[in-house]
Order: sequence, then structure tokens, then C-alpha cells
Amino acid sequence: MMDRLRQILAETLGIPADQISEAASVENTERWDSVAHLNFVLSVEQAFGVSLSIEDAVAMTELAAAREILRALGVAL
Amino acid sequence: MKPPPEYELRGRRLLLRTLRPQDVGPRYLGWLRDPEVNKYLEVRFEAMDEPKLKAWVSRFDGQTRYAFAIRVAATEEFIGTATLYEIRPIHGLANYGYMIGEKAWWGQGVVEEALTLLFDFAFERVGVRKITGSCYAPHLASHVNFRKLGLTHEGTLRAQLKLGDAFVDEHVYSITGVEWRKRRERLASSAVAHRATNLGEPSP
Repeated sequence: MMDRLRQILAETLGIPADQISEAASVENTERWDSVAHLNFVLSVEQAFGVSLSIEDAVAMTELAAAREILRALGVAL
Repeated sequence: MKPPPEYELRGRRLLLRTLRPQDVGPRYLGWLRDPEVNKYLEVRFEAMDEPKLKAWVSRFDGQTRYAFAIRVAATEEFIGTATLYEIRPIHGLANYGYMIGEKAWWGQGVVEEALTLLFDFAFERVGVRKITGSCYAPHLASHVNFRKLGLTHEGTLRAQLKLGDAFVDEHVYSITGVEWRKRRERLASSAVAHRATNLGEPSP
């Protein structure tokens, strides 16, 4: 099953989804910089129909954390 | 008055060179007056002009406070500034700040490279033990930049800073020299090639 969240991150960063591990974060992923993160947050909001707080948007600088936040918002991943 | 020591820190794409009063001109003033650039900078509360900005730059003596012009290494284009200030030698502490004024360079990874050069300088040349930075709570890009460089969220100062008609939280991040060196070792294979050269007189 395609991991939609990972796919969104991959498209935002312009790298293949299979090169993104669950441990991916802004710290360990070269292309994931501040502008890429703003685009990632906007894409996630559009794709899943959610509105993220600034606290959630900051915490989503790690893929695993982003998944947990979306689950907590009731998004089925 | 003796001019401050001049430093030059070279990275892969960037060059950080001691900021001097003669760097002050329409380009630099334009950044500080640009609402997109200064949205989260304290300078937006001041009517900044050339004499005031030159006086501010002159306060960085290159011994207790450091200010750098961020330049493109290949062309020496001036694109921003980076500062190290409030250095407390007894405690080994310093604060830092930065601004990328040339918006064409936003999203190009230059913050990471510039601050890598600044942190190397702070920990290895100045000898500080811990560096601290802070940001306005809604400034998402700043939070990301702190985390990208491996800083730890240290605390929140509640309703601390004026933003529009509201007072918002200030978030404080920090990194120690030990943490920075470990991070540099982890990223050694892809680390920014750099060297630091003191072009002026040695610090006492």
C-alpha cells in the first residue's frame, strides 16, 4: 500500500519515496530545509483536509512525528 | 581607534567576512526596511538610517562581539549577515542571529551553510561552550533552521514578543560544543568544506 504521507514528502523534496526512511527529519535530510518544510506542511494540509497549528507544523520536522500528529487529528494513514 | 580583527570563513558556496561600516549601503538598508525580511527582526521597530546602522556595525569589535557579512564565495555578492553576541566568557555562552536579506537566496540552503561556519568559528576559535538562539513562535522557518542544525528546544518564554497587536511566545534553542562536534562527525562525509582564516591582527 502506498504511504501517502511519505509520498507527499518525497514529492516536496524531489527525491524517490523509497529513499525516505521513517526516521527522516530536517536534520538528517539535506533537501528538507525551511522552504521545503513550509511546502510540506501546506501539501499535507491540502491532501488530508486538516489545519495544522504552528506547534504541529514545528513538530512535523520528523516524518514519524508527522504521522503521529495526523493520526491524532483523526487522519487515516 | 584600532580597527577590529578581520576574519574570513570560507564554505563551499559562501564566504563570511567581518562586517564593516563600509558594508552599510542601500542594499543592506533595503533589507532592514523590507517587511518580508524584517517581519521577525527587532529592527522593524526602528527608523534605521545609514549613520545608525554604521554605528551599530561598529559596536561589533571582533573580540567580544562578532558580526559577519554573508557573501557568495564565487562573486562576493553580499546576501546577509550573521552575528555572535552577548558572549559571557566565564560561563562560555554566546547568542547568535542571522538574516538572509537577498530573497533570491531563500530556500537555497544558505542558512545551514552560513551558520555551520559561524558555529565552527564560535566553538573552535572563540572558544564558547554553548550557543543559544531564539525565535518568535509563529516563525516556522526559524524553528526548522534550528532543528536542521541540531539545536535542542530549551524553553518557551510566554507572551514575550510583540507581533502586530499581540504578544507571542519566544522559543529558545541551544547547542553545546560537545553536541556540535558530534553532529559534525556524523555529517562528516557531507559536511561543508571550510577553513577559517584570520586576515587581521590576532586577538589578544
